[in-house]
Amino acid sequence: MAVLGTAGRARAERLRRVWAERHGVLGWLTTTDHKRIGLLYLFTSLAFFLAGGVEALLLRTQLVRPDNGLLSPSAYNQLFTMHGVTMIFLFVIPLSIGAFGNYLLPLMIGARDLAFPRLNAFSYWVFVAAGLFVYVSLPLGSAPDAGWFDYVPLADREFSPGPNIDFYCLGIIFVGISTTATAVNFIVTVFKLRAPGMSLNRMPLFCFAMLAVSFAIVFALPPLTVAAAFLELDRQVGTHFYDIAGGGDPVLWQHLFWIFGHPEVYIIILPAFGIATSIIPAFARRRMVAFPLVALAELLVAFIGFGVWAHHMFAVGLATVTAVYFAAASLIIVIPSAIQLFAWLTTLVTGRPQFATPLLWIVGFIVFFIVGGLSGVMFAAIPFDQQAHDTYFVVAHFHFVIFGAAVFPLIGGLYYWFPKVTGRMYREGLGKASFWLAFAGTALTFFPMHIVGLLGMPRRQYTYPPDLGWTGLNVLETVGSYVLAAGLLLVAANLAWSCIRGPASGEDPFDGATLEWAASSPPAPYNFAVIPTVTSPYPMWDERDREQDVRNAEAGRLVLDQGHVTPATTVVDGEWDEALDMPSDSPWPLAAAAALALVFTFLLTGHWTTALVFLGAAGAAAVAWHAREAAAELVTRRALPNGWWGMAVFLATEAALFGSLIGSYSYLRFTSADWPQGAIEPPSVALPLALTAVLVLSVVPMRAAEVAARRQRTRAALRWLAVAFALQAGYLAVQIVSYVDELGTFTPATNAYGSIYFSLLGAHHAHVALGLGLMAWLLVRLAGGLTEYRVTAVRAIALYWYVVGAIAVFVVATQVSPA
Amino acid sequence: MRRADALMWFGLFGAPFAWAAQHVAGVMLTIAACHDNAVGPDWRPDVDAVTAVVTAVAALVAALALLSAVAAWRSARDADDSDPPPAGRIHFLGIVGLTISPLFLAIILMSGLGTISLPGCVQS
Repeated sequence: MAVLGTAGRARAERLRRVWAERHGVLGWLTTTDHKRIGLLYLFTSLAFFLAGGVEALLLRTQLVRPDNGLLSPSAYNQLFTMHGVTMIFLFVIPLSIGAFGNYLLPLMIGARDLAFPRLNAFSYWVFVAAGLFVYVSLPLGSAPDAGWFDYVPLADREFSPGPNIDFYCLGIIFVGISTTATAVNFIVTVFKLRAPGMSLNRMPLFCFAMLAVSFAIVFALPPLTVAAAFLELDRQVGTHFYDIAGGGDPVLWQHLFWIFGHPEVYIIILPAFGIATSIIPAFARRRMVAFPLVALAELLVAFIGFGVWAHHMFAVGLATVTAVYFAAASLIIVIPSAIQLFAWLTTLVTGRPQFATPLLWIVGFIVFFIVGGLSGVMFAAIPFDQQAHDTYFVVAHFHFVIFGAAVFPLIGGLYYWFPKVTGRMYREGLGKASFWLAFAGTALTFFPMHIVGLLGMPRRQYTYPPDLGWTGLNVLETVGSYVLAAGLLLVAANLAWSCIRGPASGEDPFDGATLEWAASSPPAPYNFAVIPTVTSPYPMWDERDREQDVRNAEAGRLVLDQGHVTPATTVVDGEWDEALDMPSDSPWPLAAAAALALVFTFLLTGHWTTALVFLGAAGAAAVAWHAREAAAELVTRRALPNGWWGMAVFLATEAALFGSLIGSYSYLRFTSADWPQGAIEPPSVALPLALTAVLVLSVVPMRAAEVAARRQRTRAALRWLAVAFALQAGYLAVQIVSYVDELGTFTPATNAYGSIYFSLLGAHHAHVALGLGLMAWLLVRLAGGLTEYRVTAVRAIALYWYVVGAIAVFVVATQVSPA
Repeated sequence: MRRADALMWFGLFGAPFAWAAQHVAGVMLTIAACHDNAVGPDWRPDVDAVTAVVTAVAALVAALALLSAVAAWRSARDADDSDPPPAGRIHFLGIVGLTISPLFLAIILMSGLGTISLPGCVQS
């Protein structure tokens, strides 16, 4: 931002006081500042990258010569599994979304924080706890060892009797909580906190990428959660989801895993696309070619990515008529990827590119994306896929995509935004040297894997005999991995040295296009002294708008220095809605995450009652973090409040969860010779239908309570809420009695029908119980009168019950379908 | 602009949802048809017939979405991508709709025609 005058500086100083957080370690433990949390994500994910990298080097060293004995088969299995789990779940996603997304998203849209700052802190602490939870297994010699996709029956208790797979299942569910919470936060932030004037068509492409990733996470993680929960139940409780002898089907795991797993590839790579679309215009000195097409391509890749999962299963023996659906989608998904590729190249060719370090990493990304993308298209051809399946050709393909195409832009992004975060410049010469070392190392490590794969070398093999012609290529790969490691160490050395000794960079050393460059370097706690004026997707190149910002600061317009506030705008057109009072730093997110860590620890050890106690503790921490209300007075707004949007997106994950459960029910039913299996009687119809009618009817008093609350009629709202609560509690009580009764006839351990029947109903009942907890909390709060915060809570919780009611209809229809 | 808004939203979401519905229905149908399922002793769905109907409906929706997107884009054809809303937004999302609808139409036709032309329940 241009230099502020006296009045502007005084207002900025007032903002600094309002937005200041605690200093020292306590400040970092309780922070809700998106920039500090972004840095925490950065350093934590880089620590996991170091661990995953050392694991990779050990694997490559083991394979440098035939019949090598550096690692035992068991250690090799654990290391390649941990390498995959670490790089996917603990490094790339936390770095790209947690670090880059957290730090940059609010800055790019002109906001002062994310929509839910405490949820953001909670996400981070859950991520740390989940990472440690998984890594504790390594020194215990019990690390997951069935590959990052953990196929059954290898991962069943029968073939993996130790706790290795339990660490995997529970760890994956645990880290998924963090990722989902972040995605909900990002979606609401992008929808609601854009600076006034930033309509959807003026939003930076990086933000489109983050929006696409967040939606992909919301819908992709529930199937993984369901898959891991089923496996853990099979292992701990004796259910039969994946057990053929008990009427289950191991292919169900593959479907559920890859419904998550393929969108996951796009979850990993889309932030890289977003970074590339930020760096290329800055260094090509021109706007992105085909802006709307690039935006749509980012969203389209995420969407079609949900329809290609079975191309990972072409060798399973699916019917050709099933596989053709996935082959078609796998071929067409190339087009949006190609749209972006041609847009990047055309922007570079028609601009005046300066090949500074950040752009070099993006050029490397483009090269590797083409290589990895072309081998990806080959897998859409079913005959080729079956030939190359489970060979090193696959390893080559996904490392070019996931390392070359996803991680290179992240490193380019580290260089690009390093001056913004630290206020200092990196060393350009060292930056270029690090790029060329890493580029050569990547090519040398992964390209020979294509050849050795076509020669027949299977993946996940701890050693190989000397007479197969694979030795020379493996030596090249191992040498390449050390060259790559040297390049990455040079990156770390350059940035660490520059952090201390680098020259001052100023606010905008690269003449960047997006709003983060309007903030100081490093940005102040409040981000912007004045909420920026926006009239295009390249606001920093609109000089008149920036001059308007200075005039606004002097005049006190859009400064919002009266409190800890940021503007909220309408979802589509970005028109002013209200000034939001934002929550400040708090210890409760950390406390809730710590309690959850204990829940998962005791689930691992089989102490279920103790786990339930700590779940209660986590709930208590969540209540405590909501104790302070943001604003007492009721406001008039044009759009739905943030809390409502947060609940809506959360419920989208719930819908995906129940979709996965009902889909699993249907799959098991279609693949079973009889249903219900064994001699189990079909369920009764009358009682479940009557009970569901009661639950659905409870939305009427919920709606009445919502209307009364909006009209500020406290007593009426309380009365209607109490009626709804009574109906819902009665529903749950009768359901639980019926559930226990049925357990006397058959159990989840009887066969796969029993497993899915009780799991589906149990999940639904758990959601009703959670809703009752929310209702009890709401009734207590409303007893103290109505505030804006409580009206929003009524609306959000009413929405929860509408969706639970709708889900109940699908659940009961599935439940009674055999009858 | 309300009519243009409606055309824009249908043009944007019509084809993706048509494909999603066809995809889920087609995958479930073929899995159900090719296993020893227990929906009933007479459960022998005519995969080709059902696929043809589902594909035709999905393709029709996608084609209508394409026409809607074209109409929305034409209503704001003088606007620029970064113009203020609603004209700029309709222009922007109109371009998105008229680009994605043919892609989804292609996937719908490739999936449906592929299923009909291939022999049923043969392992890939």
